[in-house]
Amino acid sequence: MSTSQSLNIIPIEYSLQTYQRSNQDTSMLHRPVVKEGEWVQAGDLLSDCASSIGGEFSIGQNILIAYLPWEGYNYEDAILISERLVYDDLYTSIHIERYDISTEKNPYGIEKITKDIVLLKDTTELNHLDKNGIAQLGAWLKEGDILVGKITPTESKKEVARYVQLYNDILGKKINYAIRDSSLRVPRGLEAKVIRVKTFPERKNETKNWENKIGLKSKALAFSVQHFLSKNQSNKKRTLSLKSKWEKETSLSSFSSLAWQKKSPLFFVFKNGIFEKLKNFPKKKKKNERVFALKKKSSKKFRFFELQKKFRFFFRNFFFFKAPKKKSPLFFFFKSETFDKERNFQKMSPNQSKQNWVKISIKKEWQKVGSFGKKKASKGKISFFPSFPQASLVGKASFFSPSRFEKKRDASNFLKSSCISSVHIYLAEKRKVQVGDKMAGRHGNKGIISQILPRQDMPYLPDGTPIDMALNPLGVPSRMNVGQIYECLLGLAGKHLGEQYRIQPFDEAFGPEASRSFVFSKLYSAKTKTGQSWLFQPTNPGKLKLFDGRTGNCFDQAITTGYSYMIKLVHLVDEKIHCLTVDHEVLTTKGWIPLNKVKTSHFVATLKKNGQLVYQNPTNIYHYPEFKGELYHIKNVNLDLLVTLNHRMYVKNGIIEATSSVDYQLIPAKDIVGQHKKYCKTAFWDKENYQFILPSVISNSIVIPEKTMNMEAWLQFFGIWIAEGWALTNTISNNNVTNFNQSSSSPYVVQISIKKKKVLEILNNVIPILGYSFNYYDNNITICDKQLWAYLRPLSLGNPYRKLPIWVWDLSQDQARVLLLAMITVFKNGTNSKWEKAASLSSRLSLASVFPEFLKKRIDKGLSYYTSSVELADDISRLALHAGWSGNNYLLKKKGSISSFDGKQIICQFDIWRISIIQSKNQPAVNHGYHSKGKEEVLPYQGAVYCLSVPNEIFYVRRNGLSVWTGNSRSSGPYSLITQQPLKGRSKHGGQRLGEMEVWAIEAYGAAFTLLELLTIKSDDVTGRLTIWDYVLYKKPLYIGTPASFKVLICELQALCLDIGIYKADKSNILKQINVSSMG
Amino acid sequence: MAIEKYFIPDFVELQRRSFQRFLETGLIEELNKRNPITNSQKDLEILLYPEYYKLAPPRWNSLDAILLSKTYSCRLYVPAQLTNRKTKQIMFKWVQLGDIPLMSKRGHFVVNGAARVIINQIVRGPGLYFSEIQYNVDSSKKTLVRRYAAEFISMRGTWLRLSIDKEKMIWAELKKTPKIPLVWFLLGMGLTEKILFQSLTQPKRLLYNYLDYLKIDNLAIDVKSQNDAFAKRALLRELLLKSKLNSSNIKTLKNSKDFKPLLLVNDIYSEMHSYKEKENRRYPLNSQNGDLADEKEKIPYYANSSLKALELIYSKITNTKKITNLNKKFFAKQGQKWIFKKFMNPRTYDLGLHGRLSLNKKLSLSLPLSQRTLTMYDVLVATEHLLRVEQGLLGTDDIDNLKNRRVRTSSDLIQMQIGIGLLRLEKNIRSKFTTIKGVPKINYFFSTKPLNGALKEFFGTNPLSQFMDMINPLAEMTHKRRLTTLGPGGVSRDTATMDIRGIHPTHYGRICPVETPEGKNAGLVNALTTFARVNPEGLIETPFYKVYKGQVQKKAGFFYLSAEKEEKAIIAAGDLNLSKTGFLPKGLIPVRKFDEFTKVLRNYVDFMSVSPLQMISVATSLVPFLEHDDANRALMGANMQRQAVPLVRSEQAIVGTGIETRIASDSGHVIRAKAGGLVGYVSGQKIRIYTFVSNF
Repeated sequence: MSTSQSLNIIPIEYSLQTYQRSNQDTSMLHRPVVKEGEWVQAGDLLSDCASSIGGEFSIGQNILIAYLPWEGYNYEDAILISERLVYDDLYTSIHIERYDISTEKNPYGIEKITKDIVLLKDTTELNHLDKNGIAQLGAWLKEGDILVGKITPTESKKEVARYVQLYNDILGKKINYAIRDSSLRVPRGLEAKVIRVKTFPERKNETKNWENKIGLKSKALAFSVQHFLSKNQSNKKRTLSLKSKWEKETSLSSFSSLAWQKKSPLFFVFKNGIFEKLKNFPKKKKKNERVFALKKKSSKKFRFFELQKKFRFFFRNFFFFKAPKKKSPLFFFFKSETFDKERNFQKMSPNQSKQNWVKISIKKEWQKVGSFGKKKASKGKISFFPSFPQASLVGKASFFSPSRFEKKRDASNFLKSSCISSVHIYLAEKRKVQVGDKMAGRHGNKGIISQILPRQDMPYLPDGTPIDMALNPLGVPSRMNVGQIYECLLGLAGKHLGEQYRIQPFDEAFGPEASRSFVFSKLYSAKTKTGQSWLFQPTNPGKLKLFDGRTGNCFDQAITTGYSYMIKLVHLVDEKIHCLTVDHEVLTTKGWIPLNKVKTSHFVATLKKNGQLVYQNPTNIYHYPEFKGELYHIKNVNLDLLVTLNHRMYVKNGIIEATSSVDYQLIPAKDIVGQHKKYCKTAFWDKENYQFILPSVISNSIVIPEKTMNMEAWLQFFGIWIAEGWALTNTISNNNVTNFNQSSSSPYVVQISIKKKKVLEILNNVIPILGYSFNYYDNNITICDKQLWAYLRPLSLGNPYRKLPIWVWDLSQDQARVLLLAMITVFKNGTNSKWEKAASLSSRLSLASVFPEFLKKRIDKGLSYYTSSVELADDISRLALHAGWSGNNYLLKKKGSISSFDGKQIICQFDIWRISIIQSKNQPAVNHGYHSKGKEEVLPYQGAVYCLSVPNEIFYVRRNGLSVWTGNSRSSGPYSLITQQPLKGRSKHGGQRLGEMEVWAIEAYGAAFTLLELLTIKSDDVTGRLTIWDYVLYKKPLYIGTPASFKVLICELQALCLDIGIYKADKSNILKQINVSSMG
Repeated sequence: MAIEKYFIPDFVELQRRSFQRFLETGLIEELNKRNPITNSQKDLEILLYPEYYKLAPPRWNSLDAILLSKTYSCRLYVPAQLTNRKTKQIMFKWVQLGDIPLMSKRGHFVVNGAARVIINQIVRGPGLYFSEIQYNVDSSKKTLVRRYAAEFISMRGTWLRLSIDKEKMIWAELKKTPKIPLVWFLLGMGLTEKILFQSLTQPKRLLYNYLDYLKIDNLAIDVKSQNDAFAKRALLRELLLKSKLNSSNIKTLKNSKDFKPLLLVNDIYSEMHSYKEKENRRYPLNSQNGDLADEKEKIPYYANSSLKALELIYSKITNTKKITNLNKKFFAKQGQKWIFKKFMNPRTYDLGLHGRLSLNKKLSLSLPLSQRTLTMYDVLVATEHLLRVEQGLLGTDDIDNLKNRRVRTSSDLIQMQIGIGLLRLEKNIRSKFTTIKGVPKINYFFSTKPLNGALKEFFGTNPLSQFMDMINPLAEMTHKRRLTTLGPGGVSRDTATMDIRGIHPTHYGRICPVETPEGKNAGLVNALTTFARVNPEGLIETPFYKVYKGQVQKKAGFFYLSAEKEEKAIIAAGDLNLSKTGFLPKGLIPVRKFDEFTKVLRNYVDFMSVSPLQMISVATSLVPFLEHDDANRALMGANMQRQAVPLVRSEQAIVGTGIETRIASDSGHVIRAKAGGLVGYVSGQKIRIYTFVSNF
């Protein structure tokens, strides 16, 4: 037996969750249920969670419900609730969301998380931020408020001579670089409280950048340090200025500033490193090497105990420099994990490695210290650093509690302020119940809240209690979930008796109708025990007489009323966003327009189901500025799309070879990830042939009449001209011109430069057909005709500004092809020599029929157009679509790029675009498995997304010049206001037909009555009134027709073989039979 | 007595126990599979000692891992031994193989700061299944032809299918490869003609595939015109051909002592060989292109030896028609390699213990249990069985029966993935063997990348590793108890038929008939019932009380029965009123025997259900008065409680089912005292309890 002396009292601590975020953003917390001084047994409940009460899983409320229709607000299972549920917070839930921000590098520098945002200096926007630029704990934030301040440099830093820089630093001069405010702000529609902030001072992948940086700047650094060391240390101003400069230079500032304090052992390490760098002390280097060697060894052991031994040794070595005098949390930088970086050291030179080592220890490890110590301390094993009591001291403090930060603030302040690279900030939002929320009971009786009524308007019980919720009585019979009625009535009894019931399902073991008899007996005892006789009326068991809250009148019939357990369901709204990112462009009749600039007035290229191209106005444009989620990115040689996961792609199964558009379907992107699918790039352009007429001009006071052109010839001519021609006024007759008799008189010259034989051949054919004569000289074809000149002159712009005239869009598909091919002939020869060789070869060997596919490919590759005009490039890709093909725009050469041509260096003055025309392979396949040129990925994304909806549901879009058909935003059409369900087939022209349940009700009411109503009242009422208005409006003589029901009646009677008819009296009172079907 | 009634097993036990099993045996088993790793000269060998593996404590606890966006995992260390036979050195070292994600107490994993659940997958258990296939002969769908197939389902590796097609030809089928005549396949597996035809009761049935080949008319003429011997054979052939229509002929043939069946068959194919050779001579061009033989693709060459069969198999799967004397050997070698790779290599094909057990049982074989790959005997006996099934002597299997379906728990899935990771590691090590210079050290060979990569892949992309549904504790718990037929190795939701989605009699007490999602996943994603458990074999078991002479033996405890064991038992429902002494009521009692409901006297009853809740899932058992609800609505009711948002103030339901407490406690969301004691401190942050512990 143990005596009382041998009893040990051990405290066991249970830490509780406080508003943790769950995967679905609901909150998780613990609510203690025990009181101090209570005795608990093992297994007893200590604390509830967010969805339990007294250890019982409970997620809802027992509320007073009645099954009654209320002004039609119960339509389609909708629910009517009392405002009490809102104001008493009965259905209020807390949702916790996490927002992340991290700094990134752009060409001008690294972003910075700071409160120091110049642009907002004079506003109140920064008031709630702490000095690091992060919203303070507990701050109540609204939409648009800054969560984390961040600035992005937008201008590269100017290189300043080093002495100037030093001068600036010493005098504390700050150079303001251009920055942009890129703060994280509270998204739309959110009003929430900051409940947790986590800062991350380091990022793994950054270490490498650091290395480079250190390497680059080491000279400057050394210089500064040397400078400093030679000066008096008490010069605080200077050290500070130096510090600030370093802050800009490297993130090592934390280090340097620490160094100034001279209390930390780190300083000495650092100093030592620097010395070595400057003077290469051989002795010390050796020592350090020893230390490193030790580290290498020790890192391979995983036993902590062993590590600890090494540690002591290691520290002893370091104490040579300086032992810590005071508590310094930074001391723990020398932690076991540091050694894991061993591999890095090996790669680096000793000098570099030293710096790096110190740096890594700071960056990587300072955060882990707490948790590590904590673990050790709590386990009660040998303390990790037995000789330093502060280890356990730090360890005991909870890592995440702000108090710990508080303690450490002095030492780690600069660390924090300058090193934060990413912040997680948690916002807790209170969501009260509102219209549109989904609620449900436990029997599958779900509905959407349609109206919130003031409690005085709700129907009330005989004792005056207003009901909380009105459910549709039609929701019970057809659904056959009678359990809800039992529950509701037993709830009523339980509420009045103050009892709770736990009933296992399948209680038939206790006799037939066990549930019903139990419920009624409980109701009865509630009546007898409370003395409230209305609770149970034998005539209407389970039903109560309710009173209308608005009038105080009793309802006609007794109503099922009782307490039911109702729950609030999460809403899944993300389903509704199907969009693209802003870098997509949409094809409209006004050219390619960025997605965010499209208006409903634009005509957007859409695709009919039969594959025909039609221009339509978008019906709606969607803009979600704060989308947060994942995007689907598909990139291929021929297509490039970046869309939300539920954006619908216009694809078909990859294996199907047929070119028809029948197999294409709109499938959400998330469902085709990784699948072999084919996209579509072309359309059929159904247009009549266009006839171009050259407008008339006045020449020498003679009107030259309009000229109808031969389209084939004209298109060929025009195509070549727009590519390589110009029109000019030849005012001074120069020698060249005089040489050509025919045109010497005319100053209006249209010229085409000929570089290819083929082009000359074509023009030789074409120009005579058009009725012009031409000269060929010096690789130029010259036509002198004023009419032609007058038309072409305005189009004859400099190369970068060229575009196609509007009539081009009226061309038929074949005509568009002719024009396009004509334009391309100009470039064909040069780029196509390979193909032509192959073609000639194959024709010689008469193998052309053997390799048609091969040849086609060649053609595809060959058809390209080159231009420096952005507009023309866009026009051509549109023309390609009209031609039943498609065009991909590539930026061939950037402005300012240099290429050599014939040994000469040529600098591009403009961007050069290449438009490659795809004729046959317009169904780019993805994931076909032949080769892996394409890219398909799902990326996290935060930012704006856009979309539009068009009647045809499919529109033409391109990203990076690669165009493709894709689905529009939303197709399910309008949503019912009450039930929030898509109307789909139930709506026509905005009207809404009867709901499913209402139809059942009508069936019960009697189809005969309905028929009667429709035939008599409704039909005559509407049509009669319409016709009368018609007559009134158009001032016709009034004529009142026969009621429809009357017609029906006559037809019925005629069907019974009765001789019956409608007769109309003439002016002369002669009766004339009227045919029933022709009656007005 | 009363406590028995309220006994309900822990709800997330399934996940925890499975992970425990993984740590105890699965991990060791998987490591052992890779042991030892040797280089090609066999002078270097790496041997792991998996039994002594150690896990370092995780850096973060599961809660911190979520906050820091880290993975809740621990490092796996295994002692490794490097034997250098050249230098006669043995080195020994602990090596780190990788990070193993740990399951939290609540039964989920934390990967990159997000709680993830690995849901249990129901797959067809490894073994052999016979099934019937119905073909429409004409388009009017009036005349159906019944054909049969046997399917070898492996735990890992390709599924082999022996099937009889519309034309009664027998094939061996594999996914993504053209089908192969079964004779080829059997010969290719290593059987000889003699064994093959002697061990089958109807050897000629196998030759059916070639009968059409023999039909070529001019052969008969040719043969006849040759000499007497040939004419005789031709006659035999004719008779054989007729025999498929009329079996009496063959009987008479059998009876006449000249023609033993085997002889007959031998004759037939020897004739075929001679014919073919001749033909090759006659039409060298045609045979080279293979045109003649492939007029109808179905007509294959006959193979008389394994070598020939392998040649043919390889030419078939690679779709090369030309077999010349030059590439003959190569083809045979490749064919052999192919078959070995697909079915004989323990690294790529694995029946699993249960697969071997079930095969042995079904085919009455006695192969050793360590034989985890397919053998030629398996296929041979399966062929024999298939032919018997065709004759109607044996029945087909019901693939929807739960005895034929197994649950792959989270541990099985992780174990498989670790297997993949270790395979990569092994490959890595092997390649390092070839590049080493001097005296290697153990650490040089090991890297954590292969294993970590494989696990990361699994947790990140596998559809069975899901983002945990944490809306409320019920959602979390049902997520962990979910059973799905989807995912790799399962069915796809587009091709799933109604049969798979439907309820099967064996679901009783194992899979909830109510709780399943609405929509396209209906019936494919299921929920485990409250009392069910998954045994180490992956079969779902449900408890019953033993009934002895009409008395329910409650004190004898639960008898957990799997679907197979339950098949023959007579089971009474759980909601019967018992007498005080535990006897069933007198008179006829409604009982169930597999799929029929009858009434029997109490003395015939074998078992009684434990509770009415036994047949429904956790979420469903939260619905009060469930028996009064239509099943569709009960389904919605069960599903919607999972979507309920925790409220700032919620209430206990006035009407409940009594299982609410268990849900709260088993979900691990509420805190329960680990030991008794005095509450010393309570705040929103922590609770401190002073426990008295006596020192001994």
